Amino acid sequence: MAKEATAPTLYTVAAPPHWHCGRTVTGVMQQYILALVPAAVMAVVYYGLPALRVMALSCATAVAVEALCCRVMDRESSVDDFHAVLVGLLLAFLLPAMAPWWLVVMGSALAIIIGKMFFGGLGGNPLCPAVVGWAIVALSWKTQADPDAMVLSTMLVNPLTQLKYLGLEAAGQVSLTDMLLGRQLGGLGATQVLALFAGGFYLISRGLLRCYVPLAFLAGVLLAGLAFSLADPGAQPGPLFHLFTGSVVLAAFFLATDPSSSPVTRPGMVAFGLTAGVMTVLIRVYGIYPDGTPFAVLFAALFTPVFDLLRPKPFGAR
Amino acid sequence: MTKPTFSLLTGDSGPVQAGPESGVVRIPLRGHSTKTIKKKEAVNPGTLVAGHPGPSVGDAHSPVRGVVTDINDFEIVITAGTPRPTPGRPAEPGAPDVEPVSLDGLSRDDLKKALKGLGVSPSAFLKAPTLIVNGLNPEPGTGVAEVLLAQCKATLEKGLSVAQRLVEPATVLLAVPAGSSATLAACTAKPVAPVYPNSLDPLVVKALTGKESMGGVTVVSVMDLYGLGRVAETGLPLTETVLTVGGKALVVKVGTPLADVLELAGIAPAPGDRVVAGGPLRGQAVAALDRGVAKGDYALTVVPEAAFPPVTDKACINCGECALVCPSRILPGFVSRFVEFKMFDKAKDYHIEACMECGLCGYVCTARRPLLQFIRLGKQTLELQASALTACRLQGE
Repeated sequence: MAKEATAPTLYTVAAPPHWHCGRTVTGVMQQYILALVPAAVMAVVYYGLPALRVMALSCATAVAVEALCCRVMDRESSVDDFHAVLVGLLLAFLLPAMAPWWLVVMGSALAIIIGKMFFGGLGGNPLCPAVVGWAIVALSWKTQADPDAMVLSTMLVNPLTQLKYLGLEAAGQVSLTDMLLGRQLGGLGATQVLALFAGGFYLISRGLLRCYVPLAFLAGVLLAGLAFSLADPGAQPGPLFHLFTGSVVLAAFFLATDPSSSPVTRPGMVAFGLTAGVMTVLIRVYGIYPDGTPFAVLFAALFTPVFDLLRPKPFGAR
Repeated sequence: MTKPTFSLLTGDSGPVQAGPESGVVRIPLRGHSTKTIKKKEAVNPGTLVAGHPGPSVGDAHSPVRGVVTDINDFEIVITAGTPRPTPGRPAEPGAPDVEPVSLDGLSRDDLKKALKGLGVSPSAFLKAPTLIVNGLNPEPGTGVAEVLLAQCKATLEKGLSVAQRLVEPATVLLAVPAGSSATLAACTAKPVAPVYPNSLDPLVVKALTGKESMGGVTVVSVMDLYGLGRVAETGLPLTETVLTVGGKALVVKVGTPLADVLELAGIAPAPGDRVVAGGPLRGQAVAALDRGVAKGDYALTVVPEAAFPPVTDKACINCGECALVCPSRILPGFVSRFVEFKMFDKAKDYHIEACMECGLCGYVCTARRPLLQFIRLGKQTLELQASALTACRLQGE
């Protein structure tokens, strides 16, 4: 027949829906990295090339280790989705600018291997990979991962350690404006509060980040901080001090919101954010760490399956 | 890439136009196993070609004059345009090809039987205290309901009077897009926000009655009502459907190849594009354009290949966008993963059956997973398991 002579035109056959919002994993990761650029620039402004060195080394290690993992696991390489770069950058943000190279490599590699690839890659990880990497190196090499011990050639002080060891008065030497602008010692990117706020709100305004976790996290920190400062105004700083110090803002917008380790329902996200926020202040007040934020994020993520039970009744259910 | 809009208002679609005249029609069969014609037999418009064994599914009729050239399980192919055959019927010019059937004065059961014989499925008109006419466009960019309400009011009202005899409702409501002044006789018009997925039957029922349950309510689309009205007007079998293609509303004969419809609308799909029988969110993509238009098709949509990122088999990243957008308030991400790993009982625990199949989860999925497909697979598997279980129980008794 004549029909067989001409090759049939091939059309795409796929399940509905045939439209898509256009948001892809690669696109989202690129936007997240873009949102971190202001903080990275600020970090270089305050700490110079050493900060750039840590960030570059961390990102490069993460990508290389993920590529290697994919090869060992005999599966298609997933480095082209930019998630490894994001993990590397977030880990670098938590480390001191003067961290030794082996610590950065160690943290970045462990973040990818133990934080992500052990669980099958993106989507399977039960905890935020960057925080896992940071927690392992911070507990294993306390001195080298501690900004107070490593960054000596600076006039910046860490308000959290001042508060922990010298009291409220010493902590008061860093004004809130200084904290906002990043003039405080800490993780190289985590302390760039204003830049991180800008990045976070950029993502929210683009619809790439849901506001529930970040706002609940910040609300949790503020509420708990307010409660403690009201209970003991002589020894405890105000809630804004807790908000602008340590890695609270980084955690609220970028660490706690790690998609696969955070809940998916609205009430779950709010409960998750509040838990992590309150836990941050609790660790700061009662714990041995001046800044408990990353640990609070890990703690809350452990309860994500429980928070996911907070889901609405389905349509038509009684 | 332009962001798709979910508004259910399409604006002016122009007058309802006649569809293409095709040389070959392919009447799709959906379980119509009782074939009443043979190959090479001549048929007239309205000749019964295949009956459905069930009492609630309408029979299939030829929309054209021609000769049957192929019969298989899926379609009956008729080549149109041959001289009029006259087996047992004198060839008078202008005489009707089949005797019109009057629906007046029939009892409810006889009416159902008559409608089945005329190609209308009576199952759409179950007895209920409330009858809701869903006057919203079914999907974005699919203006067929709007056009019918504006231009074919008389036919719709005729259909509604027959539907009322079948449903025997105490109240009849008409769901119209908010701001529209469309009305039908004997209906109370109620506004619904014209944004997808509000056009889905369960959500229309919720908007009009406040209940999240279809119990005691029969929902009829204006497309169904139009078909019923045409049958009531002419007394002839239903062999056409009204569909939106390229922003126009066409009355297309059942079985018309999609290629002819697209040609008339001036759309030439390129290789790799998706040609969808139905709307962009719920329609079925077709592999070949020689497939015939089916009864009940309300749109023909072409989605260019490059417009959207392709579907992948990547893992769920648990971002939760699907759960936030789901009108059934289930967790499509969780359910799809349960189905993916064959944990069907778990999918049931997560209320897979509540899904209305709106397709929004797949629309927002960051990982571009075929979420609706997973949910349909899960539902079907659970149904098969349940029916197998029932069969076992019956055997045990």
